[in-house]
Amino acid sequence: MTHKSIAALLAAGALATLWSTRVGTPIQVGQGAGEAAQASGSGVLVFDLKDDIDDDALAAFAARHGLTLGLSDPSSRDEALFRADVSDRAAVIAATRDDPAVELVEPVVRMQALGYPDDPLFEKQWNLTQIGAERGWRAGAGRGVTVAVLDTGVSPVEDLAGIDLTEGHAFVPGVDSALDDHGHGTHVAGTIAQATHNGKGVAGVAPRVRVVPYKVLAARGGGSSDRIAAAIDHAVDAGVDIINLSLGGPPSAVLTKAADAAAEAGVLVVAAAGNSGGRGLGSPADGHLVIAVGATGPDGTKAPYSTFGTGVEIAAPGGDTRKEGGGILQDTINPADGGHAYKAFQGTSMAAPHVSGALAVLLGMGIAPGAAVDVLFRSAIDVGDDGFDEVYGHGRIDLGAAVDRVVWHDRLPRFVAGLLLAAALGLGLGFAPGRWLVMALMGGWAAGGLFFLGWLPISPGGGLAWLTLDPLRLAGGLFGPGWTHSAVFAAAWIPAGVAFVFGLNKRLAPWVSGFALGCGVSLLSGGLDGTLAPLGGSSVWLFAHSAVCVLGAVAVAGALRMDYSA
Amino acid sequence: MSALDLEGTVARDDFGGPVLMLRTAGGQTWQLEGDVPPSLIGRRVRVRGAEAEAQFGFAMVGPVIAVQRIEALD
Repeated sequence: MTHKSIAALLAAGALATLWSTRVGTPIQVGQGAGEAAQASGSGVLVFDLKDDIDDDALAAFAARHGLTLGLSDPSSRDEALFRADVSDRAAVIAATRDDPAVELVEPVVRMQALGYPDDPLFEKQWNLTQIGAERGWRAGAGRGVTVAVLDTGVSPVEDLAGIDLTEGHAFVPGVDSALDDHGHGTHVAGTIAQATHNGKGVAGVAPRVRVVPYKVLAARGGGSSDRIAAAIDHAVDAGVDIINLSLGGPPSAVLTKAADAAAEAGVLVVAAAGNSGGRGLGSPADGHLVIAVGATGPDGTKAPYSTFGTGVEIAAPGGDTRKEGGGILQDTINPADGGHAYKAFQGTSMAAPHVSGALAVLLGMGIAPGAAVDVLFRSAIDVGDDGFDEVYGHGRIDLGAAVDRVVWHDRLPRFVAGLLLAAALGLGLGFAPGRWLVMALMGGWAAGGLFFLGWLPISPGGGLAWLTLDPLRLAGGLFGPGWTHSAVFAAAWIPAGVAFVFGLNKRLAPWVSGFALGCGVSLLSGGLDGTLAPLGGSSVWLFAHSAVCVLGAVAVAGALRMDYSA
Repeated sequence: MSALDLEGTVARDDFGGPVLMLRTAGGQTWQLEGDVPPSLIGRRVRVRGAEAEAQFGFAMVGPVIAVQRIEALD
């Protein structure tokens, strides 16, 4: 078989792979959180003791069981979270689990060999484990996405240090700052974007997003429909990607219209379903285009307070503070002393930011808003009645399964197609193995990113994580949030520019050609399956720029080939 | 704004902040805003008030009533 025959076969395979992304594949329903590691032998145990345990009772408990206890973190005294090194974990668990001072005892579970994340209170964030947040951190953690949090404001408490938090805007009479004077908004923002793997406190769903606070609720937690509607309009004009509304009230045509208009403008609008425990959504959750979120407790089923009815689209952990450790833990302000505190809240207010964070992660992977919602709905775990129901909507979110779905149904076909097409071009032109292999690898990376590196224990935003992003997305990210879904980057400018500048360099030409071809595949794939949607989802734009990329790749490789012949 | 007269049982819950509610016999829940003595929690009461201007918030348990007068019935 000649080189050209092999190249033709590779090219055919690549196109077939790309086409397969268009016809779709069966929905994979994700699995829930795994069981905790079994305890055996020596090791570290974590003791979640009664929150009100005093020092005397603590000393007595330690003496009863011969334990040397240390705080899990200097800030974890209020939550009574302690660690102890023991020689026989199983024996100590058996001896202490029924002690009246103990709420929970279990081995410290390392989420990865490198202790990831290292936020000491992550062990109490059952909600993040339940939704598979870790896979989201390894898939970009929402980099390049902007989330507006309309709430009581957001204050830069200690554990939020280092996240991308803007000053925001105030829509409360007599208030000129978007700082939080209640605690609710900072808690909500923390669930979305809490600094993660910073060795401190707790983690969040999408720690790389930009958070824009909008203070629409006053210090006592109340606000009015017209000002919330005005804040929504402002956020849309400011170009945010997602609006989180952990608030609600009675039916309001003005507010619901503003929320639906935001969604029509391409912004994902996420709203809490309500805490009445009964049927019937208020505004803005009742908007036809609004993603209304119901709440589940630690057992994954409906929280008793969660409002249900027509319009509930999906469910997420909202917590149940009546159960020990059942609340949603986050860092927030402590109005009593002006400092901060780790507090466990419950409510559909807490459920909505899980969905906003999950959508941010999916948008950050480079897919269009509509595709992100579709993926999240399709990968939700069906709870309650079979199929869609008015309590859980499409089910309880499973971000891990959603990320997998994007990777295996979107990124992998693109990666393979880019790899095969670039290899086919190099082989077809009779290049030596070194050259066409370089072209193939660049083609694969440019088309789909080295997504499989996302499974390696590397931190979000650090190490090699950027390699798992496709380069067009990566380039958009360099210019900050908002640019990554811009038509400027879902285009041929970058590969064409690279080809123009470096294409005639013999050493670089195979890299440049593979890169341009991979970018072309990425744009073609986005146009075929609708996962890229710049300029209002114009496939013509994407196909045209894909063609430019492919022509550039062929021109560079052809010039290199002619140089051989000359 | 017209006055409202309601009867029901006072309950307290916490949704990121304490929330006082009135659950009526008909199953409707109202959020109580204003001065409600803690001793009335769990008791049947009669409330006179008016719908509050700030109806939106994170409590989301039902319409907000600004309490003008509240008295125990049991």
